[in-house]
Amino acid sequence: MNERVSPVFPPSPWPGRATQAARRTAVKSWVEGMMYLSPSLLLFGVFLFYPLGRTLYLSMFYTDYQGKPTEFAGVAHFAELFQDGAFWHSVKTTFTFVALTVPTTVAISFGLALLVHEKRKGIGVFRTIFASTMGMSVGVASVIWMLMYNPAVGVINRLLSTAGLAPVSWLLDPDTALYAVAAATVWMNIGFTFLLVLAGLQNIDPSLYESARIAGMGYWRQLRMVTVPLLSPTLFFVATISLIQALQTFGQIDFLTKGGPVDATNVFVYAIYREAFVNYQFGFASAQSIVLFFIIALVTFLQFRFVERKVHYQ
Amino acid sequence: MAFLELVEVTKTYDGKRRAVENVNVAIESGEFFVLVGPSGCGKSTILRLIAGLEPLTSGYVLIDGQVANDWPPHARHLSMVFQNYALYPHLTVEQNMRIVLQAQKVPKEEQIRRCMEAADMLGITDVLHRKPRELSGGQRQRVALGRAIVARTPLCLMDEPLSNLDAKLRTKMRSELRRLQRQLGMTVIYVTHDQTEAMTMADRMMILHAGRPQQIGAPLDIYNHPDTPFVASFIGTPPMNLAEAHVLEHVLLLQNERPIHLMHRSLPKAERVTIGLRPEHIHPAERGEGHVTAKVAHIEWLGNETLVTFELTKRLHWTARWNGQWNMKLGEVASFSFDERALLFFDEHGKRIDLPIRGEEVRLDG
Repeated sequence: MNERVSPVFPPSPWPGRATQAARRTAVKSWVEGMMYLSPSLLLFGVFLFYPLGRTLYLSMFYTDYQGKPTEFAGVAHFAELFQDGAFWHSVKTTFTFVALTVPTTVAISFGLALLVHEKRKGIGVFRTIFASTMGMSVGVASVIWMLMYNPAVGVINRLLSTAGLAPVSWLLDPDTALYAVAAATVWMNIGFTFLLVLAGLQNIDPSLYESARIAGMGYWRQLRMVTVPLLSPTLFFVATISLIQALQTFGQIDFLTKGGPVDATNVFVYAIYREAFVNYQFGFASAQSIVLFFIIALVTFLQFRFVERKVHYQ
Repeated sequence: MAFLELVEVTKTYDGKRRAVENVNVAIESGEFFVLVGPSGCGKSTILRLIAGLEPLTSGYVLIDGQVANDWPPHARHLSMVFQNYALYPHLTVEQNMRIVLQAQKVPKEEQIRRCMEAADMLGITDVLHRKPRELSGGQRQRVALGRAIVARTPLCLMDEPLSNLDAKLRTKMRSELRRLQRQLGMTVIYVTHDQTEAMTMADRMMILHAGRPQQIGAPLDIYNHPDTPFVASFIGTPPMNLAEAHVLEHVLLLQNERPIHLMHRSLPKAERVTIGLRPEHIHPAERGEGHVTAKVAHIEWLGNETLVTFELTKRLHWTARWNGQWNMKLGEVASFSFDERALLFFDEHGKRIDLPIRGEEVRLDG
């Protein structure tokens, strides 16, 4: 690292002056550093730090319907939150959603990347297809899935009926809605995670596989002994971002189910949104946001603490 | 019967341009055989064809007399040392060596025994439990060799294994490798672009150029009797001096402008030839002797010897290798003589012309 070190001055007959000069240099260097940082600090400040501070502030107030603080609430919102059944329900829904999407996303993108990594004619077409969901907005993707899930005209139920099975109201049945949204989410996320895993695969030195072939390792043994350990940093990274993404899911819920039926898909962020912009309880919603912030921080910390041990960095 | 044989081996990647063309060679058991040539000449491709990492386009690979074209790499019972060593970064040195044996289902005690033996041989016992990233380049190189040793395959393929080491270590490893190979009785096929490495290590070597074999033979044979101008200029440092020449009775006209008289050497019948002369066959002119005079274009003092480059014509520079330290100046006109018997001739198609040698040294002037 190129660290900027303040110059060391020789002992001076006028100690006061020397420290003054040193201080001046230090201030100058600090100002210079700040100038380099200022563009990103400004952006972060406007879009991140200020909203975060404001949320923290609001979480301690009762608010009017415009979101203006009216009365100091202290920790009242938080206290209420932890006794609120709906809150715990949304926590449970969120974690079920995470459990449904994260492992599936990682597993499917790994599988697809392995398939595409093989050298075959025309494999580039599949690479493009698999990555294509990356270029699709949540809105467009949601509309596609909404049509597919449509109980009357949706392609999924049509397939079911051709197979002689009873139609399912995917998004309207509380038992299936969360699974249906999870499936759509996995599909949406796969484009990006697939590309990350593929890039990770392509980064593995091919001579390692050649050496393995000469030693007589079969495909599965190579996968277990070479690919998975060397890909583990990528897989870990993909798992982490998928997790954070899943904890923050909002768009597809809003498009597909609006948190229903009977709160079956009312995940955390959506619950916060409803609290703030449907029920106008900005203070209470802010308190929930703060709790979500700590949950994400905690889960990510735990993941780094326990899963990262199995990761081999080169 | 040869241990490994390549018969008419050809490889093309795009169906048109041939990476390797018509290679025929028989390698004996216990031989240290070097494939040498400039980069892109197809030497690594040949190694990969032997290893079975890539299919042949045509021809045969025979191992122990059996056609092995379709054998998968592990069925060929060989080991390979890669240029980048191909060590598994997530495994320790010991695991890196044992992984080969695990795949072959060698019992665990035997794995450990062989591993210790190889580590002992290579002096890497202290680092057995380290990961590759904690090792120096030289140690990694030894681990890669160790993997080849524990496998106990009769044939070992090495793809520029020393090229990532610094010059001093490389020189040391050259002799060490040879010693190990003799001790273990392994057959080694060794790829390098470094002609010094080839000269010093090979029992026999094959020189390749643009995918085609140029010459096969023992290093000194090739040095003394190169078949083509390419081989002549590729083997030896500094390279052999070459010049296009017209043959006129007893005179060679170099590049249409510089005549050289030969006294003791009959000249080939061909009209146009390429002549070759090694730097060590050019001597400082002695008093009273016939000699060539030319401007000194470049001097390199190597300490124990001096490389002097003469400008024979604007486009033709010849380098001489003289013992000792010669005090010469750039641009100075100096004279030299040369050993006529050492002069080589190549015909228009680049084949060597063998001629009887008449007498002793020769006079010439320029």
